[in-house]
Amino acid sequence: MNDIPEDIVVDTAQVKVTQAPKRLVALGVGSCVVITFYDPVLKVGAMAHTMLPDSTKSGPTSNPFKFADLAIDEVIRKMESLGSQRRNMEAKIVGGANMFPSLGHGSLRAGEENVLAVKEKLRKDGIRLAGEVVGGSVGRSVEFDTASGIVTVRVKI
Amino acid sequence: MGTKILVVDDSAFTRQIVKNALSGRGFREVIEAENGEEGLKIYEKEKPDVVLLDIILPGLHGTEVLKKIMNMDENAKVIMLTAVGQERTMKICNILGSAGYIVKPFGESRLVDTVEETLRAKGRRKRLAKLSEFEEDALREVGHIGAQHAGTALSKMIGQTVKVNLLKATLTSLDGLPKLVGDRETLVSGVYLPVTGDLSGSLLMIFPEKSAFLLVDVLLKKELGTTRELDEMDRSALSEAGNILAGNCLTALSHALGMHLVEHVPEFAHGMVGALIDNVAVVFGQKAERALIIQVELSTKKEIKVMGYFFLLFALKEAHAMLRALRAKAGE
Repeated sequence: MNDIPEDIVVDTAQVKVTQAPKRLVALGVGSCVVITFYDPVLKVGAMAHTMLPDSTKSGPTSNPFKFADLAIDEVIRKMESLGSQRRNMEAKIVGGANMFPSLGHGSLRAGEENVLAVKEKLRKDGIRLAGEVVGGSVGRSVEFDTASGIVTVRVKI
Repeated sequence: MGTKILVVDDSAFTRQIVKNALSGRGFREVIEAENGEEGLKIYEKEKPDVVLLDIILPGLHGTEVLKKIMNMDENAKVIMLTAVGQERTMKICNILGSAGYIVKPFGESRLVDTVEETLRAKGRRKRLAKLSEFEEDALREVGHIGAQHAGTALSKMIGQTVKVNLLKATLTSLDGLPKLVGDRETLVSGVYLPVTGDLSGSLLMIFPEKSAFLLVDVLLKKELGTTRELDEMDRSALSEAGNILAGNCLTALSHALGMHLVEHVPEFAHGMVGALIDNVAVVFGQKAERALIIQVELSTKKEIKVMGYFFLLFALKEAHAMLRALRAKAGE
């Protein structure tokens, strides 16, 4: 018998929602921002693996959920359809690194810009930010246990 | 000439309204589909000029159908049929490339106006037009030349003949890049070099950790297999090697294309490949979704297998500029 459920891998530009006891996993996160959402009441968990801050500044694409704004909207909609209430949701964010010291344009680099945009969007939507592991120049892997709500960040150097 | 319209809606009533409104107005044919699966099949066969697509469909959701149609035909003109309160979904449809929307319930004139307007407009995605097989081949060759010269430079650095083996050269979406190297957590060393001048793009070189360690051993004349982690000197050696390889690659490209290409200060990073490549893809991806990918294997006689990946990131617009340059060169 095998009671350890298989991990659900959340790739870039993907949004996934699940219920305890499943685990959501994102691997090798650099400047992307992974957002975990947890409703401790219903033990509903979600993960979004976003790459860019803002869909309104972009042309057409086949991956709408690479944008933080659209991905967060989608997570909230899906969790609400499972019965979660917004005031019970808490978010944690991981990533937003800059792997290459000065890659990017303008004053803000890709990682920082992503983190700022995600925080602003969460604030606007009234979702509490419960924790963050962001910035620096290191790749991270994220494991989210929806039974406990615990988010584990692994680095490999 | 008449025009073909496909209406995908599970409501026979809506389909009838569309049919009544559009027939007899110079539209040759209104084809009906009850669901997304059927709509996709008809699209492929009939290539309609405009699609009217309901968002809420049984089975495949309207957004999924839209995505599939746009993947099939980047210039497809799809008008979404929506209801009040679907603003969030409309944002997604817009990003996926829909041509417009009509809110139900709609009057005849609104429907006709929107369809006619859409027919007049150019496809939104026109700028992503594909390259022909012949053109892809020509670009492959350019990439190969660049990689060959990088190999020659490496030969000089390590005092051994380096064979450059072209594994893959293709135009691909940026999303799949990390998978070409391996598991997203695979540790790699990467050198990134922005390119400006007549072309703007970037060059990314990736060495899987084992290959990076071997390169360090060779470059710093250590016994093979000694390097197990990278100290500052090792990083500096790899960075410099990357710099020279990339520089040679770029010089070769300049000559092959007859273009002036300017290289910039390279950047070095070591870490999980998913993190490294996505970071570059994000910065680059704001300009383009697809890139020219050249994957090469560098190997020497003495059982030193160094695997390297060259990613030449140029947007399609730049790829077309390269092709024009190649044609001009051929005509000289």
